[in-house]
Amino acid sequence: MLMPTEETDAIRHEWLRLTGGKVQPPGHPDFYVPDAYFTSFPQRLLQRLKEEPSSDILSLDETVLTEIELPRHVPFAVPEQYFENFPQQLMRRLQTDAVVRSKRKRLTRLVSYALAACLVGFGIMGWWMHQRRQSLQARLEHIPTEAIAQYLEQHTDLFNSDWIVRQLGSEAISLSLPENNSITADDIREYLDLDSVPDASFMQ
Amino acid sequence: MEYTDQQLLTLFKSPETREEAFTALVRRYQEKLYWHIRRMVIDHDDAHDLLQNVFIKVWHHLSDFREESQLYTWLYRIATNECLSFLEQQKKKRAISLSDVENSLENKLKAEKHFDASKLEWKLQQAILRLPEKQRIVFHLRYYDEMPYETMSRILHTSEGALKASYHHAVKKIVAYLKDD
Repeated sequence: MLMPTEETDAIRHEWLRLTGGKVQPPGHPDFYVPDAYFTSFPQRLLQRLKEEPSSDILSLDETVLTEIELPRHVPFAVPEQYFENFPQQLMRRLQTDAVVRSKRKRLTRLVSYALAACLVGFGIMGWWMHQRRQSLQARLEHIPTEAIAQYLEQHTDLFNSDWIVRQLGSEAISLSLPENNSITADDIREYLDLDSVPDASFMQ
Repeated sequence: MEYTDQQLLTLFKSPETREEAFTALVRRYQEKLYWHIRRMVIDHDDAHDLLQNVFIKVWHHLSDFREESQLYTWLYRIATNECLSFLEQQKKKRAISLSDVENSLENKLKAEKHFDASKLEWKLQQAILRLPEKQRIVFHLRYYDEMPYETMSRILHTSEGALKASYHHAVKKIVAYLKDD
């Protein structure tokens, strides 16, 4: 059984903290170990090592290899003049690769510039449209509501609107108020708020 | 004039002498690297392509070489990685298993000009092809290039102990194959 140490206490406290004190820390399993197992283990191990055959791998390899004389020569054929010509062939390839690389680099640079130009163009266009919208809104703000209402009244032709025409269908449109209606002129005035519209005397 | 690796690196950094230094470097290491690659991929055309790829990478990255390791081990590392990538690509390209790659390499071996299955040197190549890729590399570097384990460890980023064990197993398998044959 292990003797408690400071570390053991610290681990126990940590366990209790993590489990909120609800679960007790599990104890060590009670496995059986033969008497004096650990005290005699080093001597038994040394004894076993002495009894083992030699494990010198290098000497083993040499013994094994001398049983059969293995050739050192690799019997592959190589084209004539291969090694004499190889360095020049390699330099030619490096020069060709260098040309291809520089062409590829130039193309990549061109594409990058084109992309950058497109982005800048889109950016400028967006800014310009934003500026235009802003200036339009600013101009509209200076126009009095009454003037806008008057303009709409004089320039809007309801019968140009496709939707209105569709809604109306083929029924004839009466331009006068229906008889026996409960809508008075005051109601209409109030609805239109004619007092606030300049020069609305035609309604009175 | 025979320059040292260090001198070649210095000459390479100067634009005026770059090509001359590079050509000298290629002449110095081309055969060693060629055979290292060829033993792995068997076919000359494949080896030629990979050798070019190795030196093209050297051309582009030699200026960045930090000289923490020897130039020799750096070159071998590039060549080894190129071989392993190539074999991996072969597998993926054809959607075939590792044993199919080995069969494909064995077919390339048998297609070699002077192939003679009765001769020991060819049987040895067939035996080596049966090893896993990395074990094959270890065997080649140790047996053919007589490379010390310490150098091999720097090339393959593997401990010396693991390399010794790998070589030991490789030898046992090869000898067992040759004896059975």
